[in-house]
Amino acid sequence: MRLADVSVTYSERGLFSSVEKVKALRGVSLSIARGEKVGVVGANGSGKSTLLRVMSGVLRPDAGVVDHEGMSVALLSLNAGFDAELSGARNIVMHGMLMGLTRREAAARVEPVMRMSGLGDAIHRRVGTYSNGMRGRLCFCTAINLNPDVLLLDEIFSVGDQAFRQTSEQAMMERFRQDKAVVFVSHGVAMMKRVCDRAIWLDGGAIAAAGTVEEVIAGYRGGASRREAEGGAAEAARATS
Amino acid sequence: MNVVLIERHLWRYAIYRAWLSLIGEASRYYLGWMWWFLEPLAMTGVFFVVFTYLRPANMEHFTHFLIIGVTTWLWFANGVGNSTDALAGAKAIISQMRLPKLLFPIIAVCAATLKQGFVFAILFALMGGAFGVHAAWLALPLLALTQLTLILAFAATVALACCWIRDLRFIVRSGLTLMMFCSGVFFDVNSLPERLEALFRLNPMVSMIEQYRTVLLAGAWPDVPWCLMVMAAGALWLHALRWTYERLDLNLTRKVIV
Repeated sequence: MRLADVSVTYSERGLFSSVEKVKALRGVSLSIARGEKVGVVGANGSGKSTLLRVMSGVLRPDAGVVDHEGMSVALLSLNAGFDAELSGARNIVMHGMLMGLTRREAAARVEPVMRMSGLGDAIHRRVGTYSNGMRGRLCFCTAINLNPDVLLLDEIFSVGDQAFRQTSEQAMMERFRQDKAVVFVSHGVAMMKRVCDRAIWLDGGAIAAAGTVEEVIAGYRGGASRREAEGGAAEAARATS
Repeated sequence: MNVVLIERHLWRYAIYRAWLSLIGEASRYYLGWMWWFLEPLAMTGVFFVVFTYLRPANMEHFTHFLIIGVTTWLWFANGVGNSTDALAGAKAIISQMRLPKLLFPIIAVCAATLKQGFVFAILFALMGGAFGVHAAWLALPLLALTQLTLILAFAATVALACCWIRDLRFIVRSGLTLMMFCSGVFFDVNSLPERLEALFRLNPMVSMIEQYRTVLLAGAWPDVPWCLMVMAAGALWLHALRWTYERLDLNLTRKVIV
């Protein structure tokens, strides 16, 4: 899939206030080939989630082109649209039905998700009672069982324990062998280094760096420390004035 | 032309989703699903006290007259009322998947309709016991279908408008209260002065409630041409809305997400 010069601006208009515009993405160009695994890093508010929404087709860019080139794309983030009032099993069934499966076909997916996620009997409990880690497991395992050409994962691995990370990493590696692409936003640098072919760093809605994971992470960390130092200096200046 | 508004698998999803949301809703209360019947009963009780003791209605079978009005009205009010929040309430799934936004008011209407199925079963048993079952009861599915079309048309309009301008949900709530008082839920619109009656009849729920009373209380056939006309107008309006939803789909996503 290909993104060319994509920009997204959010605007909020109040009846008694002026229009407020926030540039979430600025001229982002990117292409993802089949079987590629790409990591996305960036500070909060840098446009990572917006980028994934544009890639998935949920959000239309204000400028630029998004071409899926015939690939099916699924976006999964931690909340994943799961209903907290319903059990994990019922959420899996609903998710499958949204993808076009019959209720019976969707119900057949509960067992594999239950096994893979290690949720056990908790799969029949309300999702509202799950910890963040359990939600992450449910979300990832539901997504991986949907089998799209491109899987977009937004901060799924920021929660969950070591065992879950290992299981999900194995499942992802399995997908890569199947010629499926994965793009994931994560702060888990070690996992990104192990799994990804390349990475991009988003800063202020624009691509600040793209290349090997090591290069990009080094640039991102350097940028973050610089910002921290600048922020500290500005604060010190404010305190002395 | 897609006569079913959304794809078949999404209808299956909408009905299943609506059913699960009813189960979820029932599990939150001590009396659970009993509220599906207690809510119309409580409303009927309030109107009964007001219009029997405080301002006597002097009408034969007033309780039955009232309960038909209340149950029919509540179906409409629940379906349309739930739709004010249908799109904003689905933010998590809308920010995750590209789905036709018309799906969400449809889910709200499906939930109100499933609940109404149980309420109607009790209502019809009650009416059958009191006045007997007549051949005109064969027209009840037509009445239900007419009302469903009406509810869908109002709900889809309200969901779109409230997504665009969120403040409208407050106006819709007040509007529904006003509409209830103008729907002949607890009085006979025919008893109003002619000019006022014509004005009240602009509200389609006036005739809708009358049709149910004609069948259930009088055992007479309803106004079938009126039903067909409402269904045709509702279907046309729904297809115009489907077109509008499709054109505005991605703008609606932004309205919901931001």
